Order: sequence, then C-alpha cells, then structure tokens
Amino acid sequence: MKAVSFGQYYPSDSILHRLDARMKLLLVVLYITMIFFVQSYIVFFAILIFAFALVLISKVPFLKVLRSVRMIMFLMIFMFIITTLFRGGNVGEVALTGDLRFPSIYLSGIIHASHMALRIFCLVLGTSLLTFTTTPVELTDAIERAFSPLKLIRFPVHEMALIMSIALRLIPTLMEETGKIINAQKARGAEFESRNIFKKAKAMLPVLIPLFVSSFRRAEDLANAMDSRCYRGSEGRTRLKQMRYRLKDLIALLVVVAIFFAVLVFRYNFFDFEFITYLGETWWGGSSDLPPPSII
Amino acid sequence: MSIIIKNLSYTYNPKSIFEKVALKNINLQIENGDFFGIIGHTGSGKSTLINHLNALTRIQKGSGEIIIQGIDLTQKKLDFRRLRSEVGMVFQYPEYQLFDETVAKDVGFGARNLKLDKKEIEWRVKEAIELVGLNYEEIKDRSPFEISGGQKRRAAIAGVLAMRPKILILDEPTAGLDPRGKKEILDLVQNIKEKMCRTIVMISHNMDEIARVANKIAVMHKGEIVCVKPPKELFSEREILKKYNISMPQATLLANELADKGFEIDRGIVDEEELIEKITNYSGQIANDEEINLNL
Repeated sequence: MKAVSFGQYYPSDSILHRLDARMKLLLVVLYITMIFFVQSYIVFFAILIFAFALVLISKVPFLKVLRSVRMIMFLMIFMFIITTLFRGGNVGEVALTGDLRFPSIYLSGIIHASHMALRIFCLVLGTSLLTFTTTPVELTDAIERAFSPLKLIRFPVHEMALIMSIALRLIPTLMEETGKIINAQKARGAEFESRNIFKKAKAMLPVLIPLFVSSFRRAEDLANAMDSRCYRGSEGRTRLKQMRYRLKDLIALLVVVAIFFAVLVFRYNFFDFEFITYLGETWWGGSSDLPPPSII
Repeated sequence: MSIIIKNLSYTYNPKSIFEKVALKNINLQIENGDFFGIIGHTGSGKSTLINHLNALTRIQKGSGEIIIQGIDLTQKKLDFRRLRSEVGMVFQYPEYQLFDETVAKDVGFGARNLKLDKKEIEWRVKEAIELVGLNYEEIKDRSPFEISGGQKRRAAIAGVLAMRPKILILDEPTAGLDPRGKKEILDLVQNIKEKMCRTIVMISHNMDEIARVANKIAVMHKGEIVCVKPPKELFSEREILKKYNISMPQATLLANELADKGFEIDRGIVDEEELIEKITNYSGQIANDEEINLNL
C-alpha cells in the first residue's frame, strides 16, 4: 500500500489552512500584484520576512517549501545571468567591465537582475504556500466561485470547474493503475529502461493503450453514475460544503491590504517622508533606475 | 525445491513518516508440483510477497533471500529474462493489460520479449491460446478489445503462458466473475498445472476455491505467515480460523453444523462432492436405523 499523495497539499490545522479558499485565492492575487511594485532590496527583505513568517504559521516544514522553490532555481539563475549581461547601464553610468564591448556589465544591471530573481523567489514562495495549505478540491471550488461572474457571458464556469476537479481526483487513481499495468507488462518481459528515446516511447505503448482504454471505461462509468443521479449541471445545484467568510478572513485581508499599502508608500512616497527619500538614494533602498549609486 | 524464501522482510518508504512494514520475517518453501494457496485479509502482505517472486519488487538490502529454481534473487545483476520465463505472473483483472491489435499479437508479447525466433513464438502462441480453451483460428486475428469478458481474461492468461513458465503465480484469477466463470477459470488453472506449469501459487479470497484446488495453504496476517497447512487440516482448526477471522468453505460449514447436531461426520471436509457422498451414505444408514431423528 503506497501512501497516495499528489499535488503539494500538506495537511495541518494552521490558521492558513482554515482560511476560506476564495479569500486565499484573492490574497495570493493581491500578493502577486504587490510583488510587482517592490523595487528595492530593503522592501524585498521585508516581504521575505513576511513570507517566511507565513510559512512558520502554516506549519508546513521549511524544507518542503524550499524544495518547491528549488524547481524554479534554474529559471532564476538563467534570468539573472541574461539580464546582467544584456541590460544597458543608466544614463551616465560607467560599465564595471570598462571599455569591453562584450560583456558590458553595469552595477545597475546587477541590481536590476537580482531584483528580478528576488521577485520570482517571492512569487513562488507565496503561490506555493497557497497550494500547500489548500486542497485541490477547495481550490477548484474557489476558482469556480471566483469566475462565476463569467456565467453572464455564457462561459461554462461550473463545467470547467467540474472537469478540473474530476481530473485532479483521477490523478492518484490513474497513477496507481499505471503502476499496476507497468508491473503486469514487466512480468511479461517488457523492458522500460532503454536509453534510446524511440525505443523507450515504443516500450511505453503497452502501458499507454490499456491506460487509455481504462480511462474511457472510467469516464463512461462516471457519466452513467452522474446521469443516474440526475446530474444536470450547475442549475439550481446546492453545495455540500458552503463557503463562508469569517472574521479571520477579514483580518487576513486587512493585513495583506495594509502591507500592500506600505509597499506602495515605499514606492511612491505619497506623504513625502524624508526617510523614504533618503532610502531611495541608496543602493539598497532605491531602484535600479537611479543614477549610479554614489557609494561605489 | 522450487521456491525457497528465507527471513524475508519488506518495508515501504523506509525511514520516512510513511514507513510501513509489509512483510515480517517470512520463511516459506514451495515444492515442485505444489498447488500453493495464500489467503489473508486485505493489506496482509500477499501482493507484496508475490511481487517479490517475480522480482517486480526487489529484496531490500539485508532483509532476507529468495531462491527460485536455483536463481538467487538477491543478486544485483539479475537475469530478469531468465527469471520471468521461469515464473509467470497473472495479476488481478489481467484483461486490463491487453493492448495489441490482435489477440495473437498480444499473447505473443511476452514470447517476443524473450527474443525467441518467429516460428517458435507462433507455435507458443497457438499452444497457449488453445491451452486456455479458446479457438485459435477463430480468435487470433480479432482485436482483444472486441471479445467477451471471459475470453479477454483467458487471452490475458494465455499471454503469460506463452512464456512457458514452470511456476505460475495467480492473484485472484476469478475476481469479478460470475459463479460459472469462476468455476471455468479454476478448472482452467488446474488444467494448466497438469499440462504446463508444475507449480502454482494462487492468492484467493474465496475459501471454497482455494480449499478445492490447493494442496497447501499459507495464512498471512499483518505481514507474517502464521501457518502453512493442507486445507483439510487448516479448516478443521477452529482456533486458527477464529483468531485470524477466516471463513470456512461452504462444505466445511455444513459439515460442522451437522457435527454440532450430533452426526458423526468429519469436521474437516472441504469438498462438496465428498460431503454429498458422506451425507448420501449417512441417509442410507438412517433408513435402517429409525432411532435417529432428523430435526434440522
């Protein structure tokens, strides 16, 4: 008996797990938007502290979260290198590499590239926190709710959500089935360990065909089962799990909105705070679009 | 000795939170010519055990050894082709592994994987299809997806037999069939034992079946083999049956009921025919002896 687990959901009873899925979806959208307004190291640092605090609160093991970020590491490094190499300097900036035509690396380029890398890191951290604390079913439910205004233009929101949740539901079943079929074919001497990619693809046929056949069989069974229970789409359909916003959802929203506001203040300095003006002129508090930092 | 298992243990996901011990110190000897039954409840480790016999599950380091027909399954560079032509494996619902265009091609899949020459493959396919009671000429060019359910199962079994294994392992070969289909498949297995595979290992949940065909039955419970006995002995040991929650074959149940009512009848009868014979003889006696009153 293998423990069937898929996706990233990490079962726990933290406050993040108990938040309404729709709210979490909204918060993640806000969070993502917010990240795009950040353009200084110090604010990125603050966001990272915030995100890590959320990880602590969510009770998801740190290593698990970092592992999901690891997948995106390659993209981060790749973008960092390309941006550093090809971003031109600001007006009046002297390249670090001197008069070389290529590569011409500018300090502002490095700052810009590292901002981008940090941005991706923060994005992945926030969104994976959503999938860690929300079951796929809750998530599809929330998406259905979130997109329900599209029903007005006859977009089949309910049907799409149903397709999604059936697909998610069947992943573990199909994985188990694949394992069984692979074993059965191996017992008949099939070899899947070939290095040659064409041979490997051909070797997969005896697995894929039975898998397709059984998927169709399953689909038909499911359709019949739904039909015989008078399923007729979203019309007049009630739910087993009613979603309700609670106080904690409101508080979470307020917290995120407040942080969003603070980020905007740091970016645009609405109230002309002197310390923000000062920060903006340093390399660690300002954006990469500034004239060459005076420190170096 | 055809199969020797010594101190075999197996743990799923060792050293993680999903760790689960599936087999505990299994010792078992299956002799040439045995029809070896394995019974036990779901999760008792039956499937894990038989998957070991075909090296679909490899023996974990330092947790026992298996020797089949002189092949040591603990060796790292195991000759899978040789092993799998010695040991054939029929999984539950084997018809779900059918994939090729025609029945003949599908049945020949295993034989082709053994890299035999064409003539030999063709000959073996014919032999296997006829052995499972299908009409070769009639069925060889049909698609395995358009024949009946019973034929599919036979064709799938033929696919294993085409490798001419000396040992055949079956995991609930009669699952999901009607009583008549069950009987036919069981007769087929006995026929296979006579004509091709001298040694048979069969898992079953149906006590009537296993009692009818097996000459030895192993009872598995929570990853351990608690006893190995001939069916007559096993089903007359009420202590064991009760302790491991094993039901009796119908014939044994009836024999016990009769014995409880005071009839002199062997409590270990597992075979219908034998029971009928005993009862018929008995009623012959009753006719002569008016003192016994039949009040069942």
